[in-house]
Amino acid sequence: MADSFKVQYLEDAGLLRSLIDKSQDGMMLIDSRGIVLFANAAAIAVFADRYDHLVGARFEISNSSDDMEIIGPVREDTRYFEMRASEVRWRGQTYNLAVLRDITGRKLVEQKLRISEQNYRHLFEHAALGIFQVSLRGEIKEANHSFARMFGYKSPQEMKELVKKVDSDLFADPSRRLQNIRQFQQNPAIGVFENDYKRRDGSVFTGRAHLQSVRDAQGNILHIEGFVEDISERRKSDEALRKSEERFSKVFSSSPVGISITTLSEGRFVDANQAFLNVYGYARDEVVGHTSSELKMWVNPEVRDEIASEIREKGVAQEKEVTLRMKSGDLFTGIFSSEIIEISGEDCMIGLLRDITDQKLAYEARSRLAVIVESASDAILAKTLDGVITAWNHGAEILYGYSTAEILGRNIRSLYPPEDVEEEDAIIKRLMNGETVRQFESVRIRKNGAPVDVSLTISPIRDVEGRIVGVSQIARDISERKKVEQQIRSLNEELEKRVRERTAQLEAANKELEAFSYSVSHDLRAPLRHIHGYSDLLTRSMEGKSDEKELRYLKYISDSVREMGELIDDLLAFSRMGRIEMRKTSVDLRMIVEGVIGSFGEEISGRDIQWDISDLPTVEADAAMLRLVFQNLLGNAVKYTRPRPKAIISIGSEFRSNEVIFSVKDNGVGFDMKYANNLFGVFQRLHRADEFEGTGIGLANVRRIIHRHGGNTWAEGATDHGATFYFSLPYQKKGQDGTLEEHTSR
Amino acid sequence: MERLKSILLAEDNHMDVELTLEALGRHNLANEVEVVNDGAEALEYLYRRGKFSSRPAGNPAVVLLDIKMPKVNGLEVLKEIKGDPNLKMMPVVVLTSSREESDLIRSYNLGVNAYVVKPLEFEEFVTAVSRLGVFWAIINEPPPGSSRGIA
Repeated sequence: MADSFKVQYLEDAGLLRSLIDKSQDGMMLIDSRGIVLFANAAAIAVFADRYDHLVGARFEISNSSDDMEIIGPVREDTRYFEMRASEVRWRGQTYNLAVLRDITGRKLVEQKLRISEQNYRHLFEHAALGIFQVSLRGEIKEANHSFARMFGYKSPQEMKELVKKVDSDLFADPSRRLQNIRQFQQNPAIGVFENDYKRRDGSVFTGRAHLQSVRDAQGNILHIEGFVEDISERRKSDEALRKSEERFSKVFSSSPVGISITTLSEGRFVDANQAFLNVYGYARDEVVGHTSSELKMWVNPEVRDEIASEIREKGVAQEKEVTLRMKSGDLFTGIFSSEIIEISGEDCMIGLLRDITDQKLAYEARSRLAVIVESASDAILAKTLDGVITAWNHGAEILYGYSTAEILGRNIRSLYPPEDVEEEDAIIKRLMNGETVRQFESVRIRKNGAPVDVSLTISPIRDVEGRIVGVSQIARDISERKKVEQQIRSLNEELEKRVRERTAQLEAANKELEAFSYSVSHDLRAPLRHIHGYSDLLTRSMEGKSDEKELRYLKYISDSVREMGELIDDLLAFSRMGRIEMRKTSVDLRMIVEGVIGSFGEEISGRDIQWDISDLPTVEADAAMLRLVFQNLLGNAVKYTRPRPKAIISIGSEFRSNEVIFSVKDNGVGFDMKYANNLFGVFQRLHRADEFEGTGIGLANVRRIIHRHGGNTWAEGATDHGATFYFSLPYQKKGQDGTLEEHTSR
Repeated sequence: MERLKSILLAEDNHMDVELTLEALGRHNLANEVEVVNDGAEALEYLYRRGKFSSRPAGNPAVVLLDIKMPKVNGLEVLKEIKGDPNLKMMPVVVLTSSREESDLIRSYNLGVNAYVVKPLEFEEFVTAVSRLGVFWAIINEPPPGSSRGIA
């Protein structure tokens, strides 16, 4: 059917013509001269810009090529056509039939491909990365400049020539490459290997190779390609960074300054160092993750907001004095400085906190001290070790007469009397030994030249390290005191002189008294003895011849002599009592009393005497003397109760604050109180000798003994109603052996 | 009866001498008593000097020594006696009016053999002195070299 159609329609020139005209490809019939005999619409469109009339135009046709390109822009937008010419014979003539096909699309693709390839080549050649292609056996197939330079070769060409096998020529450890490849084969996902590589000169660098494999259909590696980067520098900088971070971390943790990192927005703690925690008294996990407002750290939270907004604006907030609250609730003052820092995409503030509470307290204390110093009435000054005055208070102005302005910078030595200037060196020497000179009395010269007595307290001033860098000196005007002291001294001297004179007089008198009593003892008794002796001899020689009256006279003489002898003995004893040395021991008075009572023989025989003896203490005293006291007092009691059918004699003691009082009470004849004062005098008697015997020396002796013991004597009584004699002895409750209490509680 | 040994009585007061001899005489002790009137004489006697240079050798059996005497007092005589190797064994009795403590202490310190205070009352005086005489001149055995009186 096709054949019949073909015959039929090919005969139809009109149909053919129509087909040719509608064809997308351009068709031209060109004669052997190159003249276009016919062109269809598509061909005319292609050459419309060049030829007004394509038919009749002349074309050069090369016969040899069956593919030819008509290059160049044929219209304003460049289009490419492929012209294919073929010979046709018609009526004995040869013609060229040229068919034009638009290949612009294909051309553009080809062009782009070419440019891309050029670009890649360029990239390959000039990339900073070292790019390579190496056969599995280890021969370099491709390498770029960077790769060559990285390994110390001038060019890829040189490298290819010199490197026979990369395993040994480029790897520091030749076995490494195979290890890499083996790993790579087993797990193609791993494409990155770090190795130590060897340069041409033998030096080694660390590189990171990114590998890719080119494989055959079976998956076997044909060759390896990829690139190597020298990471030595990066390694170094990574290390440096790590170290720096470590250092920062150390600084952070060990800084004595409190450091905190909080979010800027809400003040939530990201971290805080130990110093910070110490200041507040928190543990780290009590703080991290919490906000400062939860912890009520800011006494005035708006201060924190101000600081936060300042940081937002300027990036920093510096040296803010803030009042903060510790965990304990106590407040402290700190200096807070902060900067903004971004952590994980969030704005944070890194804050430095210095606790200045101590500083502040110190400052306040210093201010207070300064006021005290300035208002002190003592003269207070400070000076250098060389003596240059550096501080001078109001008291000093008054004491020395120099104003602060006048004296500052002058030397302390100008206050010394010229002859005493070396004193300053001596004082400094003592201070340098760390000594404080206290209450040192000296003389200084006032501005008007007048000397003034001062009492100085001088102390070293030390710096923080404890070195002595200066001297403080407090002076007090002691002129008045000195004057008074001088008066007291002269009074004392006067007094001492008088005492010495008196003592000398007394000593002389005492000596005389001693000599006197010695003479009395020897010389007064001898004549008495002679009187007695001769009256006795006389009595004997007159025996039988004398009358009763004569005998009575002789007896009176003897009695008087005896009495005189007793008086002399008593007087001597009394005198001795004042002079003899006391020998104090612990004396049990009960034993003394009982001993004395036991010694009364004759005197109490046939008498009815009731002895009431209460507890008597042990005292520190001269035993012999106290025995004499009781002999006298008890003897008197016995004597003056003689008229009583029953004598009652009581001996007692009573403690007072610092003395003990003894009493001897009797129910005897008593005495009239108006003579009580005479009782203790020498030779004072209230009774006649024919009523009660005695010389009147006993109570005088008692008084003298008790006085010598530091006590007192007195008596109470009434005529016919008995008498009570008292004496006191001093005592310390805490005696050496505590015997006093022991006895009283018995 | 034992032979009476000699007694040296150093006493300045003649009444005391008389009363002492009276007391000794009542017990027949007065015969062998040599009396010197002060300390110096006592020493002359003991050292056989001056008027005693011709007395026979030998120390008395006892010296009765008063303290308060002119020239050289009794304590000085005592000191001399007790400091002399030839005399120190000779018994010395202080016979005095005083019982002054200082005299007692000094006497005993110097080595006195007895210290007797002359009693005031004559009877007691006689008793004391005669007992002294009996004891030292009869009962007591004197050191070697003492002179014996004639019975």
